[in-house]
Amino acid sequence: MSEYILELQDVVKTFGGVTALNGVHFQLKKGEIHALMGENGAGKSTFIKVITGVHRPNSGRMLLDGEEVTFKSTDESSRKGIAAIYQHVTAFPDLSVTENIFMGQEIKSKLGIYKWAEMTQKAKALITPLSADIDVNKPMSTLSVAQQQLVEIAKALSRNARILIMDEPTASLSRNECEQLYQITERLRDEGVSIIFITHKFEDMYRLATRVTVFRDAQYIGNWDVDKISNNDLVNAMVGRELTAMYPEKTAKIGDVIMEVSDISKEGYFKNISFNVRKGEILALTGLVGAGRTEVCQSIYGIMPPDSGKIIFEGKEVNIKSPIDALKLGIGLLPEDRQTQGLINELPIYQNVTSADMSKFIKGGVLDTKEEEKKAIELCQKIQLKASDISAPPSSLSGGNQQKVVFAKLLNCDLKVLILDEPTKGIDVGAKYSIYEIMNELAASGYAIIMVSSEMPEVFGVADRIVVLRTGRVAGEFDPKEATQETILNASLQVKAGGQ
Amino acid sequence: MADNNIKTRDLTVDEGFKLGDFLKSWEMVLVYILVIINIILSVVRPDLYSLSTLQSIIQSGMDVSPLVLGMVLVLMLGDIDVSCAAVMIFASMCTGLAMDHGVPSIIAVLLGLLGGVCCGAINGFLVAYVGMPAVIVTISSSMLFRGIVEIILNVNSLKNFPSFYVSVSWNNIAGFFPVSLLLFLIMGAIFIYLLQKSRFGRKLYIIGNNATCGQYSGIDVKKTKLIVFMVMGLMSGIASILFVGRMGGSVSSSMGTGYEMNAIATCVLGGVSTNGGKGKVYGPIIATLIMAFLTYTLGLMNIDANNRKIVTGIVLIIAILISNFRDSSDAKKKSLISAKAREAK
Ligand SMILES: Nc1ncnc2c1ncn2[C@@H]1O[C@H](COP(=O)(O)OP(=O)(O)OP(=O)(O)O)[C@@H](O)[C@H]1O
Ligand SMILES: [Mg+2]
Repeated sequence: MSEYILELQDVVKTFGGVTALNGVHFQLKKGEIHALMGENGAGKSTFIKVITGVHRPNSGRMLLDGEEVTFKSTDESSRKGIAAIYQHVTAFPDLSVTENIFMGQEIKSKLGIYKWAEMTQKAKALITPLSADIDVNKPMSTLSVAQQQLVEIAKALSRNARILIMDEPTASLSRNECEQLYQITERLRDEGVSIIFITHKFEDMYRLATRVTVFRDAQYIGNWDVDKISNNDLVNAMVGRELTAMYPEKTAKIGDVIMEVSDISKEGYFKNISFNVRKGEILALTGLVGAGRTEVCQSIYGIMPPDSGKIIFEGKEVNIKSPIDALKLGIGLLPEDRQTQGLINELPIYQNVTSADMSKFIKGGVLDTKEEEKKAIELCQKIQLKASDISAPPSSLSGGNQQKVVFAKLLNCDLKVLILDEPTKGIDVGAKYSIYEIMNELAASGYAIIMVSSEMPEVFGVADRIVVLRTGRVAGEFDPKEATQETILNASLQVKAGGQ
Repeated sequence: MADNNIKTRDLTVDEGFKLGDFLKSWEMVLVYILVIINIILSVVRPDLYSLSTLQSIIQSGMDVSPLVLGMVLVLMLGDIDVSCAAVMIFASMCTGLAMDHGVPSIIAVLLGLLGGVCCGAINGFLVAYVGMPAVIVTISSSMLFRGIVEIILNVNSLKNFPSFYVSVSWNNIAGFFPVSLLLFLIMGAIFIYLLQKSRFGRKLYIIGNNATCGQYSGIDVKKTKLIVFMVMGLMSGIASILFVGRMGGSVSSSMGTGYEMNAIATCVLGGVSTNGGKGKVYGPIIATLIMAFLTYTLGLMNIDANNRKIVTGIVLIIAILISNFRDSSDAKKKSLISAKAREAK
């Protein structure tokens, strides 16, 4: 019997003219947690889909327990004990959590009747250790992205997988949800499950993995024991060049207050939130997922206007009833969930980029698509989008590159205040740096930026001021030069800790 | 290599026309179908294959054509309007009653169109602002509109219509080109502009594919929907002109049933997806002609009305199967996962 439970050799996969995998190798030992890392578009997600049978490789061998296998569908791979959580949640939004978990493997009585009570029980048992406040009877669409991710994990667990693959599972999780996920992952490893963990966060890798494999530009770069490679060497392997700093130097001068949020409340979401943001400033909104950060952003942007309170913009009280009003004033939002809120997967990239402000491309009443393409190319180059064609649909891009398309869409509008909900979600180290650079550049040109982020190093690396939200209220405002990660964390946890 | 490797075509050079792709496009497939039907017709009844036959074939299919164009926009949103035939009759009634009361014919026509727009606005308001499903709304409103017509007209029919109604439907320019076809082509051109060239059209594609994203991008989804339903109402009003004209200038409450289904089927045949966000105007324009030729040819082949329906139904199912098949192989090429996500919707 082979040392490896799963081994892939010389896997090649192309999509039309795009080579997504060019002869990559991978070896997974039984009972290990193996990190798979690399830049956006390196081929990680494609590789996973080759393993589970979503894609057929052009060539290459896959050995499971030393025996060569080929999977024509995900059904076949899941019967062999391989489960995967894909980067983009593939759930059925109108079905309940229970129905989603047991989709395709419903528990039936001998007569073929679904045993809903039993399934609900089991679903509860699976979900509760992950997150106590998910109601398994509610439809998927009522959950936050993070919660949906947890349901996907529960679904994979319900299949008793021997090999579990997770594609950026922590991308939309907050710190303590990550911690829960770490513990679950470790527990599974101890039970003998072999795990492939794709991530852009070094924290995840150091915490969990014993080995790491790196891909770059569809190529296999190498694999290492995590404790035998320095962080610098690893970054070099991923990016292919020296990265001198994680965060660019800030150059923007902070000016006057441009927007002030005063005492806004929304029943069931948040209460009496006040803060302001200045020209040239990057303000971080942080806190746990569920603290109301996303909802506050959506309120300001007019998706769900607040019940009470005032928003003062450039000295005048404004009434933002919809995103149309917000955009008119110059307030833009990078939404939390790019798949449902940010992208139109069926339309070409350039039409996505221009969708929030088409007025400048109208010539004699006709949309000038050539101009649109030109502008889109310009913006996409600025944020280093990797795409083979500006007319390709975003669904053909890697996850991180899809995020960049949504970013480019905002850059196409003439704005004054940018609200970014987890802007670097799923973006690799190299490209993160360039996104921070763009944020700095925008700030220097007078933009005010509100950034929602759960990543502490990022918050400290780029923000001028930190506002912590806790269960829908402002828990405190901090200066990153004085505060420590500890103080921020305490502020975001306080109530829970005190309540116990 | 990592930076700026976005490969795009050089925009200063025209991309060049890919003949292969063009010949395989759905619109061209429709053209082939149209040609084949013509060949069959000319072989089966060479004696009847003449200019005047062609003219009357086309004229017979033009009364549904405004409905088809309006329906393209409605389907683009992922909605549907099954009340358009009822609205068409309602609009005819408005004009007819106005004429009966001695209103000048131009005003009477405008009143008819206005009636159509109002019906569309009711549908649009219920769908967009109340948030009811379009199928339910338009099934109910179709009963409502027809009910009103039935109460007002009872068993009588209106016979007093502007004289140009009949000429629009039956006359040919210089004895050669049907007036109704010209009208259709002009309207078609306007709709091509509206859907494919204007900002309004782009909004429809965005809403039809992902309304949530449209909302986040600053598009007034509700208003856009309302406008589309009002346009559909207007087109039903225009259809009433051609319809009444073709019926020889009279209308009664039971006329025009099934026109809504013809319009929807023609759109689908033309490559417009009922799920929204997919399709163009060219396809339905050609499909309108196909439907006219198909119905007429079957009639000439002495196939009775009921069997004709069966044949038309089968042809449609085959066409939809083919276009579905093309879709799914396309989608597979694009991305399996995103296809799954669409299924989930
Ligand atoms: N369905 C598809 N059609 C065409 N190209 C595709 C498709 N799926 C992936 N690609 C291309 O394959 C390459 C690898 O993509 P992949 O999603 O595997 O990257 P990734 O390593 O997961 O990146 P990320 O970290 O951004 O998620 C990219 O260049 C992408 O554009
Ligand atoms: Mg990926």
